[in-house]
Amino acid sequence: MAAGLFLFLGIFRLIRTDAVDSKTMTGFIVPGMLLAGLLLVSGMFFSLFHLGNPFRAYRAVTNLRFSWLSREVFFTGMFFGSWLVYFIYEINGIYVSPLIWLTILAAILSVISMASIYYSTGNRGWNSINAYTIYLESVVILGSAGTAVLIAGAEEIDSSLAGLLRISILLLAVFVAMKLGQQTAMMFRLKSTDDTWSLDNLVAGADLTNAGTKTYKNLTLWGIALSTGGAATALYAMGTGHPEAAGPYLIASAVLVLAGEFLGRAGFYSLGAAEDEKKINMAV
Amino acid sequence: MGKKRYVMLVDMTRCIGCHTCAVACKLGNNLPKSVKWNHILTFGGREIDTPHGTFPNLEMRFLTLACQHCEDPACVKACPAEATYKREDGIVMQNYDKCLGCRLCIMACPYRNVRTYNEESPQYDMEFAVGDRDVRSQQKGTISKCTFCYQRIDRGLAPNCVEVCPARARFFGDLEDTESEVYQLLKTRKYTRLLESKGTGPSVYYLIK
Repeated sequence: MAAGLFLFLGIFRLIRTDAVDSKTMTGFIVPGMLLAGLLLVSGMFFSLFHLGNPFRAYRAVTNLRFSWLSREVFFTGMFFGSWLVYFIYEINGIYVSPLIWLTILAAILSVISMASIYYSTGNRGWNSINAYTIYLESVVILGSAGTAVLIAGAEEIDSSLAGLLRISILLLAVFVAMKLGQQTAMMFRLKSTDDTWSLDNLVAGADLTNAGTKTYKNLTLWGIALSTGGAATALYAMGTGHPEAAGPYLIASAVLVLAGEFLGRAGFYSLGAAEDEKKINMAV
Repeated sequence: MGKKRYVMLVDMTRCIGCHTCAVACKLGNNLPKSVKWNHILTFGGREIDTPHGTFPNLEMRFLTLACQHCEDPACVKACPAEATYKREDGIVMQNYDKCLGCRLCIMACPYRNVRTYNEESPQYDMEFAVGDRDVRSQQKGTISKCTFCYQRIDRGLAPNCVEVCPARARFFGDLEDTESEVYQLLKTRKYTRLLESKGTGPSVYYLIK
């Protein structure tokens, strides 16, 4: 979400070169950029503490040559560093557009590295273009939903903010529809390998088990339903023609989209869920 | 001396699924309760001692599975901290002091359960350490796996599992040495390797005839 939010706000900021004390800046861009940074920091925090040895995390950039996780950590660090420098300059009234571009680039590369981790595992559920599209679509979906809520909360919604609101909602709807189509196709395409006996299946790691495939389908269906509901709510809000009154609808939309994305992501991860260890014949 | 390439051979026509190799591995490497490096699978399924085939044409066939010490290991590429690395002689090792516990090596590895993650502090069945004196202690929050008993190999001994097999179903040696037993066996016997399609080049060969 941090990447998506910065993408939307960053591009808007590149177009709108307002003074630091303008209402658009203080009521929308600065809070939005701060939120993007806080989301990024919280994401980094949770990533750090899911490690078995968080205090060794500094070693995580050692294998940039081969490891996608090393690259992800590197680009996320770059995202945070460039965001921080940009934000400090911005709140002091110094506009540096290259920093915005650098931050956007670092954010996108971080997301691509994240997707590559899964793609490179060779797990049949992850080893396709779907791994990239699911992440990049989430960037746009969450970024657009978050931007719409921020605009709804802005002190003053001028014509450019209203235009950004329309674009955000339309992009939300388009990308949710894309995700719907893609994930539906994926669900039909995925077949568990559990019931096909072969020596390879006996020894293969977490790779499209019955349980994993079923969980993926359930979570994905619920996720798509919630995201679609969120997109529909946002479209309804846009249809009222009164951005100032759209706040509650946009908040509801963002909540639905966030829940849908959360479930969809959980479904994606379940494709690599290992078989219950108790079911596997163990020596001792 | 030229470069070595250590490989292990498992003769599936001789393996009787006695689990002696798995027990020897556990004891020889002083593995904690929840850690298993060497698994004995049966063709019939994932439950213990499951026959394969349809009644009345059933058979019991065993397959031992541990780290395959691949030539092009996916885990080594995946590891962000270079805690998983490949020795010159082909043994894929795990450096517990560098391991972050990110478990990406488990995700990257094509083989089921050959790596164990020590989520908690290691708990042992006995109050004293057993096995080889120079085996490394397990650490909380790190991954461990079969090491081909490198501590024994470096002393010129065979891995624990090879040493104890009562059916003489296991062999270990340097494939670069054309006079080695492993080289000769692979030249004369029919064999297979697991998940070759993944392209990692496993160093464990299963003799099937």
